[in-house]
Amino acid sequence: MTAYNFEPEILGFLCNWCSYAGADLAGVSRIQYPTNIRIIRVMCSARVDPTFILEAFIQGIDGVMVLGCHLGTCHYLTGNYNTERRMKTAKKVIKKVGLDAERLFVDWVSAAEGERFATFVKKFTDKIRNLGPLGKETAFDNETLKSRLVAAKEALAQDKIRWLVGRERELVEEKNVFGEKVTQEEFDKLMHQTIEKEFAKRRILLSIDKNALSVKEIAQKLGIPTNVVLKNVMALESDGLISVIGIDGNTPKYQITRV
Amino acid sequence: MKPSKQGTTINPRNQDSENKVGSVLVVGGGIGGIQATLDLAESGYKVYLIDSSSSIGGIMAQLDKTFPTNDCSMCILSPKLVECGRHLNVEVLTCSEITTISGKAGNFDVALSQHPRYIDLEKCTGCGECSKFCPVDAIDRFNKGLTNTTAIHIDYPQAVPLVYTIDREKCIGCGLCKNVCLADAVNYSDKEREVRLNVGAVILAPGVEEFNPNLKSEYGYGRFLNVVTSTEFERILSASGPFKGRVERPSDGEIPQKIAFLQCIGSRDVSCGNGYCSSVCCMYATKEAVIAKEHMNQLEPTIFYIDMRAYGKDFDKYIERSKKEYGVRFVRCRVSEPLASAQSPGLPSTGILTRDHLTSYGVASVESKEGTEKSTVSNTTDIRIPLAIIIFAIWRILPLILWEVNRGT
Repeated sequence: MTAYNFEPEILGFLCNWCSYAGADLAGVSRIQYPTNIRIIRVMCSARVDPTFILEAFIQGIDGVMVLGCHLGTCHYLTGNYNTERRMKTAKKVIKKVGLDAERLFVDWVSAAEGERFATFVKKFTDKIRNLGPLGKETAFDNETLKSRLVAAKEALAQDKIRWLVGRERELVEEKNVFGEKVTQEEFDKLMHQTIEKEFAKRRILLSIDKNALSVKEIAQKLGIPTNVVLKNVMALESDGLISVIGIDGNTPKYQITRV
Repeated sequence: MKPSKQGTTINPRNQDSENKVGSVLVVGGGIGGIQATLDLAESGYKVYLIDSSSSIGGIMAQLDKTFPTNDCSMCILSPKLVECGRHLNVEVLTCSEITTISGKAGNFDVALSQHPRYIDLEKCTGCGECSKFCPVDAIDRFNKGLTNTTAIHIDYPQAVPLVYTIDREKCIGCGLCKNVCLADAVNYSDKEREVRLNVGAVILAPGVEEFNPNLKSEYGYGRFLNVVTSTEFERILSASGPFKGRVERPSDGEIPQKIAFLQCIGSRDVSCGNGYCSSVCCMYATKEAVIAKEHMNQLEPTIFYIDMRAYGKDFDKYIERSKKEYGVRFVRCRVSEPLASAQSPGLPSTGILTRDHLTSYGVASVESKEGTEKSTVSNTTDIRIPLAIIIFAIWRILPLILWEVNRGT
């Protein structure tokens, strides 16, 4: 136990048809579980956008639970299959930020499983209590962590990642537009590269939000190799998001384009 | 009315001309093929212009400026591209390669295989919505890999035909482009097609290709990010290129202080099979040095050459002007090898030193042999900001591909 009593704040997204009813059952059955959890009811666990998870962390939540119906019993037939894939992506991004991916918990609870719900909450709360407050597993100060989280959330909001997340199930399990199946490895590789790139781009944008910086300065600030920063900077410049505001000696300085 | 075959007075020559076809096939859509096409089309011939890539334009489209007038390359090329695209006598066939040619002079049967581009040539308006959304990155070959493009892409904004292409190798088939396409031009069921042409003459204009700089690994291409080929440097110079015309180092985006051009790399060198001089490198190295200096006045370009081959009319004046007006330095020597800078060992792409006596010039760089290739290296012993770009530029004239022509009967 640390010097003070750390009580984690846990956010739970529960689906209306199964998990929320399961939590209700736990309540009416007077099953004891920790009060650290705050519950948001959603119509389906598939309503939980990966950006919601990052937003929760930005707001200072220490752990997020996403609970839905058991696979195959979704009220909307395939909603929770989508949840499964989306949360997998969310976990990848959380790892990219530097946090322990265990801070996001995804599982299934039916309306009849009050006990199971209570056990999950107990176990998860214990786990987060042991992990400590958000960011304790990283070496970042609060400000850095927050900016990484904001960058991650913005990266997840980009069309490229959203479209890939949305299409993963069909591409991997069924077929693509050419009638071929994409292998899971191939898809994961693409997803990994896309996350890496979008995350780096958003971090670069945030780093030059206020001050104009050179590629070298950005690289130093973010700990990314200069040639990688340069490639991303060029892409951002082509998209019109940033521009050179001046050349200081031999060093072009970039800043966000203000419209 | 056709001459009758039964006629007894038919001159064998006339009989021959009876079988002659008045259309021409031009193979290769570079500037040479384009000019040949336009000249023939203006003379009233029907011309088929084919190219294996997705658009015509070739290497000239990648260049920034041309010597000796420093005219903008695209400004010369794009009106010709447009003319090819709209001329009633010209049919442009892209993504096409010849499989067989048979017949004899005056009458050839040509079989082409046309690769699928998955976009309807008639419908695509070239608006670019698809590539804005495409989630898959691909290497931008037009920009020589200095930037990325997407799996659905167009080489450059002035491309003819202005139609996007799906890179089937990269595409994962997510279907987003079809969703966002405003013209309904995406067709995933496009297939390899065979096209047959009957032409009277075939002009082969295969053009040139760059020497593979990896064959001369001692110059550091691939090891040092700041060693680039001349075509890459053209893209760096280009206002529509990855750096918007700012001369920046690929390693870190800083503007280099010194640039070394190494001449004759891969040319006049029988060890890599190119005993000849490619004859343009001295001039375009000088041109690149001048243009780089125009873009960024603080640059100090040095050209390391074996001998200066300014072969055209008034080209020597151009060289002299580059020395006097732009301060381009010419050093006669053959550079042996660029070395990583001791000042910034973590950045192998910066400072480059040459061996021994060369360092006394204050510039360590290697020059390639004049003629076929050029490269630049900048470096120095005493430079505070050792910004080096090495440019390898090497041209290799593409061998004509000789098809075995089946004369038939």
